[in-house]
Amino acid sequence: MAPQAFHPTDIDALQSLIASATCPLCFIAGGSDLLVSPRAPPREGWLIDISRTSGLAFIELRETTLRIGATTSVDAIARSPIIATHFSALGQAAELFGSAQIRNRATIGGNLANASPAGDFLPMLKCARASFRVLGKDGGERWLAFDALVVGAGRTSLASGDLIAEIRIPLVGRLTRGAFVKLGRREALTISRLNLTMEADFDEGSLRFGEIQLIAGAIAPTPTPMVRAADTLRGKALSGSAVRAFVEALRDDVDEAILGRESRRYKRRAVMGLGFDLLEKITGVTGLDAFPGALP
Amino acid sequence: MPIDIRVTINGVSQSFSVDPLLRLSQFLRERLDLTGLKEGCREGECGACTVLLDDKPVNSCLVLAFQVDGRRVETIEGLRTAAAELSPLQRAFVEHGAVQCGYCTPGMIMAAEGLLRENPAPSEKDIRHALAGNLCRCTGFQTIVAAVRSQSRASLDGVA
Repeated sequence: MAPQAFHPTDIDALQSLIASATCPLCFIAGGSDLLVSPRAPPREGWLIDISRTSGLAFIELRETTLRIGATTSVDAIARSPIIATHFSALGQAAELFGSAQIRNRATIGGNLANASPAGDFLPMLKCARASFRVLGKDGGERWLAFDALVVGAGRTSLASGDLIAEIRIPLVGRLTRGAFVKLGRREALTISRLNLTMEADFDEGSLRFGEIQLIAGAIAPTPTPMVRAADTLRGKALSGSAVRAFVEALRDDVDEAILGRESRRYKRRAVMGLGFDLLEKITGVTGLDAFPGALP
Repeated sequence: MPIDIRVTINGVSQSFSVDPLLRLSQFLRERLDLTGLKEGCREGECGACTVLLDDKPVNSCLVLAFQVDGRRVETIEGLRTAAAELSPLQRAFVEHGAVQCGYCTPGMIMAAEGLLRENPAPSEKDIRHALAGNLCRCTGFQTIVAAVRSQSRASLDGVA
């Protein structure tokens, strides 16, 4: 058995195709998740290639919103000056994503639809209060918030025929700095065992933090807010004691998130080292472990 | 149900009818006998199947053949010069001892070729970043990086 294949050239053709389907639908763009064994692509129904459907790959600013098309490649995100300026954590994650070969094919929409707990883009899209435009089989569209779209490990609320078309990130009220760090088994081409995304206001002169958002990935089925750790830094100046309180709170947050899991034993320690990397990246201040009182 | 595609492979435009689930790597190796690329892992980890798709390196094991309709695909066989000699980058690999068993070499060279087309003067960091998706278990990578660096210098000096 093999599915019937299509590659619609524009969104109108794509929507007409979806509306006319009377069988299961499967979308493919970069293929870097769908084709990885042992997961098998569908053996029946329609297989629709959206990798070159026009109107689905773009990065643009419109008024106070950053818009990213679902089939925008990871490589395009890594190279985008708009992303570097307005969503730097996403740009940092894109640079660390897979290999050059994978970055050239993988898409932001695919990363979302796959909903892997280790998906690097997921924590930051939740952190940035992104919303997602979904085209439905009935020809209509709806907007979903992150928690309404990603509902579990590898699970979304999408039905057969639903397609993520666009991601929107509101820029009003956005925090001024962003950073992403990850831990894997090797430096390149690695799947996150643990990652952290932080967005924060930080004043370089006074070394003082303002508002903070902090989310961990790859420790639970869906991205997990690190509430205690964010609270320790909110409104505080960067100091040895603040750094220590932060990394110890990160450890406690991980303890709570994965209590009873075997991976807790190393992740509760590893997250502290990752916390140092994260603070150095977001503040631009290096050598934090040499601050008096910083080391637990 | 097979689907018709037209694709330019190593500079020659051709039409085919392909099964929707046929991977580009299988199509190139088994249908067109372009066996330079290898299917090492079939999950985008080893890079041995790397080809250029519209000048960008991709893992051909993670692309379906029907997805390359209307596009340009280049394999290691397409790097040969008109006189069927090795390309300057291939020669650099030979001269630097960057080939041992040779299994990874076609993919490694295509990844490097993609880098050099986009950035003719990459730093060592650029080269290592670009080749991070290609695994070699013989050479230790130093000679491979040296080969790519030498070729980038040679291109800039007009030698190659």
